[in-house]
Amino acid sequence: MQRDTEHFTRHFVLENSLLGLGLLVAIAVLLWQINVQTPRLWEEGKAQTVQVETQYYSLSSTQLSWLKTFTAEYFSAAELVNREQVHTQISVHLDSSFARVEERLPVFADWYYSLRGEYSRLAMAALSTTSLADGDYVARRAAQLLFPEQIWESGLRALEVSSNESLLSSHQSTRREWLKQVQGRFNAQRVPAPIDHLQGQLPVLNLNALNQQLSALEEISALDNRIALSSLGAAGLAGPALWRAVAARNALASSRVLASTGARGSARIASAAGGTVICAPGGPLAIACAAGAGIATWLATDWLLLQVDEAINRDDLIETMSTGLLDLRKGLEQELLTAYDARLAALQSASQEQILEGFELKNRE
Amino acid sequence: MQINALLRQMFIMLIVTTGLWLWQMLARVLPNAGLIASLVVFVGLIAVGLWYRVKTRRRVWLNAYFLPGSPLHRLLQGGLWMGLVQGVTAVVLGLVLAAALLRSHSLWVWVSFLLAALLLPMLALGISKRLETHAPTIYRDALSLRLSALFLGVLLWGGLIYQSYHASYPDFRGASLDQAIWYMMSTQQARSEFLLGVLELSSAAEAIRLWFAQRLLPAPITSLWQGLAWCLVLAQEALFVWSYLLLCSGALRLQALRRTTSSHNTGDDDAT
Repeated sequence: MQRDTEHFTRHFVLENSLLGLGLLVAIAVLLWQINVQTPRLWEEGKAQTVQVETQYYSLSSTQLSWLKTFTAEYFSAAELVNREQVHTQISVHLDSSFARVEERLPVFADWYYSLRGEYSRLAMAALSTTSLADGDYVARRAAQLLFPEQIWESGLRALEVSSNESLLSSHQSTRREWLKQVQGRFNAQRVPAPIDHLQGQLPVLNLNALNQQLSALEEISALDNRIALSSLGAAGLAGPALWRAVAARNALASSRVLASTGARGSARIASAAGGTVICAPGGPLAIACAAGAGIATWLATDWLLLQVDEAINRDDLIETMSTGLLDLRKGLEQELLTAYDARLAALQSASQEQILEGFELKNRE
Repeated sequence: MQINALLRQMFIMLIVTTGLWLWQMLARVLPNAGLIASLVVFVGLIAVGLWYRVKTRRRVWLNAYFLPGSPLHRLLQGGLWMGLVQGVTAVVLGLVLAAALLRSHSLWVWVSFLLAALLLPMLALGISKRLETHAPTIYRDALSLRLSALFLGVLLWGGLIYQSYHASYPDFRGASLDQAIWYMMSTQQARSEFLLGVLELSSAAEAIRLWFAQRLLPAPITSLWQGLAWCLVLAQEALFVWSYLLLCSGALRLQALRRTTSSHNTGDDDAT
């Protein structure tokens, strides 16, 4: 009985010692772990505060991702609309400008089939052979008569200004509408403004800043466009281009014109010679008389031949120039469209980059 | 025998505190199911502590006012309604404990809680011995446990109040109430939406308390609002300590119940 009691007591002492020891070890381990461990945090699905004008919205990562896609797509779609709008604007402007040029074609034809025009051409041709003038006189004259600088270039400048203004205004309304749609979409997510001086708050994605950055890009793009505007647009180049187009397009008309010019040369020499015959009985004044009669006959013959040439070729010339104008219009339109498309494409690319950068704020923070 | 029982009780207390600490470490990354399961354990232990407390009170009250053998003893002993009330109280206290634990990251709090949990059975045993000649056997254990929990609870409460007094709080003096509430709520993150809701609610309550205390207290001592805010801090910390000690008591009660059941079973086997 006593042995059983001793055994029982020893068993209890051993058990208690082990329990006590185990308890101490467990307490020590727990205290150590309490000291070194920190609570596990849940970062997924962390909300992001977004500022739009003076309002703040708390968006989940899904909503933020939607907003990013929506913004990128919204601005892409707006650029397509802007491009269409610019195309229409350019087309309307060119229609009006070229209609006015076409109205002036008879003025050019009048000059072309006038004695003044004829002798100017002859004089400039003679001067060009002695290198005293360049040989593109008719082209320059065409530029002066058909594309008066004060109308033509100021028209193009007005197109540039109005298209810029219209694009800027369109961009502005696109951005305003974008912010409005974002506000409408996330109205239920509105939250109070963060407290400025307190730390530990979520970073704010500021759409106002993105809006301003996009606005700055648009303004830079408008300035770039001014430099890029057309070489064909200059009046001094449009005239020669038109004349070259006319010459290249209608070789027949051109050769006929040249032939008529050659024929006029031979005829005027023959008629002048004929005119001098009238003064043969004039005695000492015969030389002066012969010169006067020769010049008068020359001029009269020239005028007559020009009238004949005009009667035969004027319509062809106007028609050929009208066709040349169409080519010039197409070329100019294409050049303007290319310039604006390049500008809008560059702007769109820069805007998309800016949007992506703006939305990456969350990851950077 | 008593030493062995005490060591076992201390082990239980250690396990309970370790469990709570682990829960505090992982609660924010637990899915809804795991979180609710762990809260059910909290609430269950608190409910056991509350149930035994209220049952003892009721028994004392019945013995004081009614003669032994009266059918009123059985009628008023407490049943479904009592269980329901204690269950709801346990749920509320469980949520309070959960929210308060997640706010308490300091080493000091956990060392205090661990010490209190280990001291609880020791103190209860000491008080029980002291009361041998004063308290009836059936109530002695319950009384000694309540007295030791009260003593440790007051100490813990004082410690938490001291810590609250010296803690630094966000400065809401230049902010509106909704800004303060949103600031406190937005800093909470949890995988479980349920826990996130509890945390946000608790943060909002804290923000309201801090905002009122800071905005409406030009003169610290004379301000009614500051007094009210401090009353709320006292109540909040008291609830925290109370729920923790109730949970510990519940665990001790369960262990005592298991021991009693197993000793009864052993006795039956011997008799057989």
